[in-house]
Amino acid sequence: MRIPGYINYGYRPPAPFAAASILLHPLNIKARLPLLLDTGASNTIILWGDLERLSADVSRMKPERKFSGLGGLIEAKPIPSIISFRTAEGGIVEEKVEVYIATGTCPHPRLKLLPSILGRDIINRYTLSYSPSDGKVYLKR
Amino acid sequence: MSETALTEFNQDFQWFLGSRKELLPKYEGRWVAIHSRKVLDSDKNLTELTKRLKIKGFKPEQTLIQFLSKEPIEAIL
Repeated sequence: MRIPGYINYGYRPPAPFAAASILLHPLNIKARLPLLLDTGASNTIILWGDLERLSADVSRMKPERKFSGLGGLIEAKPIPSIISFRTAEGGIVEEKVEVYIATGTCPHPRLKLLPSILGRDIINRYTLSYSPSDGKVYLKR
Repeated sequence: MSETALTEFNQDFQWFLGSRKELLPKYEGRWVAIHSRKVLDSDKNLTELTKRLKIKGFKPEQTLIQFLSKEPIEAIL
């Protein structure tokens, strides 16, 4: 089974993405979003730009975890979720996972441009095949 | 989430990535909402764009919305 990914040339260097839908159970939000395939990220997290698009009210959420990044610490709350991907074979694969939601206000307007991230909590369930020179990226198992 | 809806979202994302050069002259510096491989609306302000989409009957959370910048985004997360 293969989940097709896409190479986004709007990033320098180009970056691998997958298109997903996410059901955030406690928030009762069903969203579709592109996720950056980031093997450097421990967990899947939805960042500020997408949170605004999702109209997710994070103001009353209490953060439960702090993630270290080059920009400092990001406070986040885990949300029981189901992430769905379309497979190349024609079908849907679902992954149960706690998706993290960035709870603090966006520290800088430019950070709204950052994509939400598919982290190793999901990527490690698959084999990631990535060849930018061939324009190919997919998750397989 | 239906398979059809997720397939359409994949197609929209693929279309956006493949159409970046054509879209840039008109939409540079703007958030662009895409549905069925067409630009629905755009705005420099993401909040304003999502408000208008709701008024038009679209669900922003299920619509592909991407920012178009001439310079590729560079980031270390």
